[in-house]
Amino acid sequence: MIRAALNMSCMPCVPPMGYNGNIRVAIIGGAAAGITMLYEFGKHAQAYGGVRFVVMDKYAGQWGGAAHSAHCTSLRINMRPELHDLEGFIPFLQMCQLQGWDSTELPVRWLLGNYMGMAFVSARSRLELNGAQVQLVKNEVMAIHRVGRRYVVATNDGLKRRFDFVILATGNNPPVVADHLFVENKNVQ
Amino acid sequence: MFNEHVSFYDGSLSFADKIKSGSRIGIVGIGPGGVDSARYCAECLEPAKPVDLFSRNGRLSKVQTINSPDTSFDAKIEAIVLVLEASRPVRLQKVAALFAPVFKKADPLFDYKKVTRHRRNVLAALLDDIQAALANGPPYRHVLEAIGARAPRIWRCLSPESKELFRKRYLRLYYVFRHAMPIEAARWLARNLEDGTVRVSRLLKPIAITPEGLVAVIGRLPGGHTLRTYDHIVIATGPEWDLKKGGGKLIQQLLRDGLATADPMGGFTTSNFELSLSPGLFAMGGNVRGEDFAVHSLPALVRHAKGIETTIRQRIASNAE
Repeated sequence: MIRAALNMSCMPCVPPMGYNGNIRVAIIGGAAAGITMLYEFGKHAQAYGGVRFVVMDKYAGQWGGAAHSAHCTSLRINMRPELHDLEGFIPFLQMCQLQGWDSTELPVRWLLGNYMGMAFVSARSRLELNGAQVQLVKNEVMAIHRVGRRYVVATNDGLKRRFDFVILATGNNPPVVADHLFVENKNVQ
Repeated sequence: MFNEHVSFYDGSLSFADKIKSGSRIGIVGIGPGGVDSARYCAECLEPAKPVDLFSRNGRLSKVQTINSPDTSFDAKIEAIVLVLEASRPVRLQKVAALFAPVFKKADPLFDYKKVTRHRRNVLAALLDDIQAALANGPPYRHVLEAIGARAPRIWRCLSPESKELFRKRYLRLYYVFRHAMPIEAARWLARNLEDGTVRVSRLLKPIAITPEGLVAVIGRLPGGHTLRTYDHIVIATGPEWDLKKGGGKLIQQLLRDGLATADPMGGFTTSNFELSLSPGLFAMGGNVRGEDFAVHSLPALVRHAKGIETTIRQRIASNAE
């Protein structure tokens, strides 16, 4: 059952050919979007033997990102819990209950951050058990450049890494001040 | 002054340290971020005055209506269209009464007898647009339905002209009606509105930055206005979709270096979540709004992740052959 849950295939872990047989995938962003992406790769782990996945986030390990990491009971998820379930994974509400959430109200948000953390562990296990590598890099991505058919990703530690595929999972951009929302020292009467 | 007294809600409570207990707080936006901010401020910051929430129409968001899979948006649109076709001209109050069962089923807080003038105006604007769309014929239904839960599927079918029509004529309505507030959040708001710890209103003029504080002219429903002074304003108007205005350094670099282009509807220009100018470079979430439009929430992320994973897997397989 555990084996089935982890999608462990008995297929040999043969690195795919093409792309020089050494495929590298970058996921930029290590919160809800990035982990959902890695989890989707994990669901098809047998197809990614030999592939190297690198998840980059300046706050790597803060699984919920800005939206789902603040430890505050006033912040709740904004949709029905079952809409947060990841396919083939423990249902979100069940995970909340395992952690002691016994209210009928909407769960607090940081529980979703924990859920994402668990999904990351699951995805990483699935991929690594099938011969892939998963690396979590705690750095901010500063630039992406194209070199031939590949991309070079530069991080704030000065390193540059080459990738065959890059996924931008950086979340929503913060709001900006709308035009004419503020005026300086005007007589408002 | 501005940086000290104005904060942005970006999903976190990073503004919390900037606001002193006993502050007078105003929050611009009554979507999920606005409600979160209000709840945090009211429960944790001991504000001196009621927390004021400002929405575009001066009213609460719909509760579990348009975006909710639990309620039939089609049924509501059908009802509106049937009413318009069967009885025009028709008095607006009568229309509101006819809609009441539809609204009430989804929104227990809605009481058509208390429909305010402004809400009636918003409803009237919606009806006017529907009438105009009816007169124009197809694809008005597609445009209307793009507001609802089926947006991503229908959105992809729209021509560039229809998308432009949506942007020009319907986006404003979408912003007024889009937020499907969970019933728990609505109950919290209703409780606090009754207690007087939270108020909902509308900004009539730009907020003035003065030495005494941030002064706002607030619309009172059904009419009139009042002046209120705040120590702190939280901007919770939701993500900035226009990458030219709001993207971070990485996004700006991609645009500048020609690896990406910004879609007029928001996010990057993509096809099946792959950047049009850069094969092998993908985006998901808010940055694919031009292609997918309804990019909020985990179900949307799952949809994007599935599409990207399938493409990459196929590409690896075809190279291996």
